[in-house]
Amino acid sequence: MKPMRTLAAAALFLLSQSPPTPSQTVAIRGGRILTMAGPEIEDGLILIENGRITEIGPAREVPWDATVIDAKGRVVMPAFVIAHSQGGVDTANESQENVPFVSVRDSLDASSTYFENCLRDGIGTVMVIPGHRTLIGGTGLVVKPFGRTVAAMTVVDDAGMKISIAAERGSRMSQIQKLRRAFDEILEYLRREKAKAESAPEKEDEPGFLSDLDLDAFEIEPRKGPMSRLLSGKLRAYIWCPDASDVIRANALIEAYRLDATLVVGHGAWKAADALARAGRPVILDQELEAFETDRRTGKEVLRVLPAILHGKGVRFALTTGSGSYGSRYPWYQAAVAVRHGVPRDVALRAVTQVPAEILGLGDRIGTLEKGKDGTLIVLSDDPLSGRAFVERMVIEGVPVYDRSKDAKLRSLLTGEALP
Amino acid sequence: MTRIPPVFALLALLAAPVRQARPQETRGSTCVAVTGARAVHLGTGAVLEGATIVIRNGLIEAVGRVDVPAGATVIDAEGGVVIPSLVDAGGDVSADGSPSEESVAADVFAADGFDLFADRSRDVEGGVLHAFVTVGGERLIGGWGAVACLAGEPASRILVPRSSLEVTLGESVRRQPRIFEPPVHPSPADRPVPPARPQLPGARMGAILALRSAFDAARTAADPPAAIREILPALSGAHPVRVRCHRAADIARAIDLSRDYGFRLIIEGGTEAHLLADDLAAVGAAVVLRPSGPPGVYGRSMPGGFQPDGVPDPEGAAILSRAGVRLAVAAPGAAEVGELLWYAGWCMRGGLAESAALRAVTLDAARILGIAERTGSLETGREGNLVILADGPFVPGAAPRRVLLRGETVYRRDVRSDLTAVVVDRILAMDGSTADDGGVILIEEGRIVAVGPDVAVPRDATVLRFDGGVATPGFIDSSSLLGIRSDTVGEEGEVRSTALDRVVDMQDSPADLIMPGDPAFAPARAAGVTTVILAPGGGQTVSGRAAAVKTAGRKREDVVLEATAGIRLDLSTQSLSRSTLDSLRTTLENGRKYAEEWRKYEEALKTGSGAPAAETPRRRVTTPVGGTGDPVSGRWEGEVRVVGFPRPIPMTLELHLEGQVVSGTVSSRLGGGESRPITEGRFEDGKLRLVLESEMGRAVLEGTISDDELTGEIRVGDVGGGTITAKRVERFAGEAPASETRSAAESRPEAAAASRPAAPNEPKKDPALEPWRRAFAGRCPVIVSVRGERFAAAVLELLTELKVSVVLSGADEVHRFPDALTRSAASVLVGPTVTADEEGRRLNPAAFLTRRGIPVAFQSRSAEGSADLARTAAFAVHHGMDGGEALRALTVNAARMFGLADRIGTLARGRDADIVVFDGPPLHPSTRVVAVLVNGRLVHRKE
Repeated sequence: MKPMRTLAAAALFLLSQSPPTPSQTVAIRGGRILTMAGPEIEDGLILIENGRITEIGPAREVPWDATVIDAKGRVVMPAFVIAHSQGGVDTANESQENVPFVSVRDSLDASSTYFENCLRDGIGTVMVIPGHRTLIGGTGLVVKPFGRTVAAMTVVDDAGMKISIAAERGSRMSQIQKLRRAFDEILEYLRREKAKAESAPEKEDEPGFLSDLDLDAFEIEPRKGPMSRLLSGKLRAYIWCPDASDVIRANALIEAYRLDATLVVGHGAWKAADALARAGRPVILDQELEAFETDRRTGKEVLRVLPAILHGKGVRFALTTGSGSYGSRYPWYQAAVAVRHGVPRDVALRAVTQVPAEILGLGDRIGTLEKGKDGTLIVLSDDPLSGRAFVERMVIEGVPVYDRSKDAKLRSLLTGEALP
Repeated sequence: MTRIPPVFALLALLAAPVRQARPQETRGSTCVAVTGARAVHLGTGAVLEGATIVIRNGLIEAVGRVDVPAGATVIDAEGGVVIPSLVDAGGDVSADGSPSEESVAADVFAADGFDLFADRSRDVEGGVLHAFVTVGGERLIGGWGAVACLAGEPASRILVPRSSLEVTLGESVRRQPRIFEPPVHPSPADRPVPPARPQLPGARMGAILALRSAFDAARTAADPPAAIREILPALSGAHPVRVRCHRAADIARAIDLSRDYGFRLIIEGGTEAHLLADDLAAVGAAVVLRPSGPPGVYGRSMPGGFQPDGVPDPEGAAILSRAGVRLAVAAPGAAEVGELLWYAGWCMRGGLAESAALRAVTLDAARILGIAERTGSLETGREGNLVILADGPFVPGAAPRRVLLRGETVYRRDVRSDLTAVVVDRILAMDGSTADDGGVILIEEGRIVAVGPDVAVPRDATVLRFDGGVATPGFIDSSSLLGIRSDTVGEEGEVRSTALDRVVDMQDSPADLIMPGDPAFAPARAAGVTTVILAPGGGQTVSGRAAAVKTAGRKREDVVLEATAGIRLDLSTQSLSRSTLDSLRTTLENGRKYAEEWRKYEEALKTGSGAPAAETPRRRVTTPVGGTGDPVSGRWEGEVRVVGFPRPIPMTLELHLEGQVVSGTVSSRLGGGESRPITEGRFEDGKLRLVLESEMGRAVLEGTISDDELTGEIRVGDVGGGTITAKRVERFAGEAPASETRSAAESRPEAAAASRPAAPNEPKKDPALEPWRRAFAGRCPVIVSVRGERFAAAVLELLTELKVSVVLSGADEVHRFPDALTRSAASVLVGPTVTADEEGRRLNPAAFLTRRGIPVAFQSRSAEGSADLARTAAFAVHHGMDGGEALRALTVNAARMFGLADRIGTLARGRDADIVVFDGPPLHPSTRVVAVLVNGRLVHRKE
């Protein structure tokens, strides 16, 4: 089974994708550039050398040795960044709920069609992390959707710990009880280890004692490693909060255990928009952006659009994609839904580029097109929100990884032509 | 150019925000004063009357007879009753979902499962602002219950995350789940996967054993797990242990444990707690009593799994209270939290004092939850959490009108402006009924919908409460010049005054002269006069119409009650003679004839069309058949052949053609020979189409006419149809030239009728005679003023003969002809002066008449006098008139005399809500008018 799939994947790459060019310089010439870091550039030029943008500005002469991507009449923008996804794994969660020591790294399938589709959809960076049905679900991985092995795809390993405030079974009350127990157990363990290492008596320290702790100084049980890193602020928590109350509780946990955390909020969190604004951290929105709620009194259905409500309260957010309704698979569609309900275009586009890049700690590399940043970009046939736009080309770290004109599978789908 | 040194610029920047900060401080200080409460229950048992509550920055600053601080926002309690906001000490406001699997898990916190953002407006509307949040009653040691505020900022609704440790001893903990904790990795062969671990308890003895070992472990174990460690704060006495149980056996064990481990005990549920009241008091335990469920819901399992045998005995609360046990009453379930006050009231049935019942949901409940420093009583320093009720806390139907949390209104009942309840201590309805013990007059959309002592005040009604108030119908001045005389409305009024004198041909009503909102009405309505009869002055025999006008209203249609409330005949300047009487008779006969003609017409309209056709002979010119001209008009005879009917049915048609419109009648043997009017008929291009209504439905005849022959088809509803053939046997005079027709119609109304035989003949309208129709229909009286006893008697006799109802205006001479008055069934208007001096005697005609059963009403005959009408009546009472009769004269008598009894004069269902509220017996010298309502609207209120 497995070898077959690998073979098929290999064949697909050969058929549909141009091989990485050996050329050191890539030039994207012409086209309207949405830099996401300043004003648009009409008829611009981007030079990428050794994977980094060395020049971005108005068109000029292209170096003679550059591989030129002609983007005339096209739109160039940073490749989309998705900060929370369960794509490319077999099952989103392990069957046991408290498994902080598992990693998506061991689950990821490099040949999954998910990554193939990421290229078509313009997603250049994606964080794959365990799903919502868990207590402490394990660590995630930031990958680029290109490469034959997980190692080749990996951008950041052990990029975040998935925690869920909402219980799959039982109540939130016992979910939080279990979380506390899990956290306290590790704190207790670290205290003991620290005392052992320093040959000093254990101290009833604040959780903060861990932030100065050099975890490498003493031997940590492998299974306690990720949680130790989480509680010493060296691993970010991604906390799933489907409801408004969950936001309040997650913030309380973050404060009590001094976690470095990002909230992944569901639709019900709109009521806690004020609390999210007070906390000041950007949040990740689950894929369902619009939902009807029934007013208990009047029986009327009220449409609530989470990104519009959050934007109104000044909360910065990243949008995610999924397998849900309509076009929620596409980052541009998610941004367009937000725009349709009053979110400014710039905010919506940043929610699929710059904000998720910042959340992933990659703000200095991706999410915008600026000099010195990664040459990770897409060339679109039209404006990203136009609805007619196709991803024509994608370049990741200076490597052209996708060319629509050579995407046999897509052509077959669109024209009915048989696959070669 | 000098540069500002940077340091100064910096100082300026620093100073700026400081200056701005000051006004913010004062803006941050809020002050609310609740005034106008009938009673303030402090929650401690004390009740203050007429107290004001001052709340500054959310905290109570003062309660009592204090002044409202300057700048305070005043909330008027509008005579309501203020109580502290309610506290549900065990209302089953629970965390979500199922509890922890573990039988003993003290590290579970209900606060973590409380839905902070849930809509709890139903609870708040019931006056409940604080409630216990439970972990649920399915585990032996379930964890820590919390206390939540049910309103305000959601993120800070948990007030006390650790309130009491929850232990359950009821039936619901008899079956604990088995715990299966599989290892994360597959176990090696020598250590197989462990089986699921059973948990205690399975019986009461196991429960007590498990509790004791958990408590012991918490105290003595070196490094207990969190589930055990978190028991300690309860054992140290810092927090109480709340034991959910109902049975005496369980309660007894809880008392034992409390003694042995020294913890503070709260019994929740406690159906049988009263059996151990003294033991509970001895250990200082508190009881949170829970009724079994809402009325009508029986056999419901109560928290703790207890299934009551019946409705719990409300006497338990009283027994516990008497034994000195601190008692709270909780709502039976989360859905009933908003009804907490009702459940507390229910315990009074078992003998619980009212103050104790209120404490059980306020101060004592707050003490049990440990939040009494914050809420539960209206004492200085506590939060401004209170409820304004419409009535006393346990009066049926007394619902919260407004709920304040820290001085801020979190609920305000929407009251309907068109639904008003007037609550008084005495109702003089004037319709024979009395409500001496007080009652309610309920008004909807300006009309009275209910009156009586047992009328419930709807929750959404605007309540007007008058303590010591006596309500009567609005007074009626039976003859007034209010709003008309020049001295009240200035220059414009003078013109009106003249106009009123000219109202002699009865074309205009005095009501037309009234200006809605005229300030001249204000003194009259302040004196309780809500309706005045405006009657024209005099000079002429027929002085004009009298109109009934209300003394308040924004629009003309609100103000004018009846444009023709009577016809005034002024004979006071004439004397008895044959010619006078004859002329009067002629006048009245003219009116009577006119009225009669219209009466017949209206009757004919009502009964249908047959009569006029028979009564008014048709102008018919018979000419031989065969002429030319009108091809339709005439009498047609023929027959209808119906399929399936053995014989043809004879049919006769009488048709008239006007232009293309055909009218007339159709009769057939099948229809019993009765002729039916054609409702719709047309003749066009030789084709005839007639529509008429029959018992079997709509009949449509369609045919062609040529040379006096009609052939066609007839369809009757869905019943069927047939073919028709007919011949013209008689020809009517055809269409006359248009001008001729009109002149004929004018000179002889019958002629016009000939063309429309189906409709009755409408008589000609004469505006000068119109009012008589009302008088001769018995719907309004003839008001007559006359001097001299013989003349008066003769006039009364004449009016009686003509069958009109008579109101005699002026009563100075009535003692001379009482028999004539009785015979004519006349009523009498007394006033403007109510006494007359004759031969040294002071006569009181009002008293004289009422003693003889002759109805009397009062009139002022002036503009100023309306406001003085009650005093006038009081003077008549002073001189011997019966007080009750005087009131009747001011209200129901006058209304009846002028044919207005279906609208005004009594306080009864369906009448206009014209109400006067006095602060004592209405005609007593010291009594004042407290409030006046006209058409349900409060138009006057004594400050």
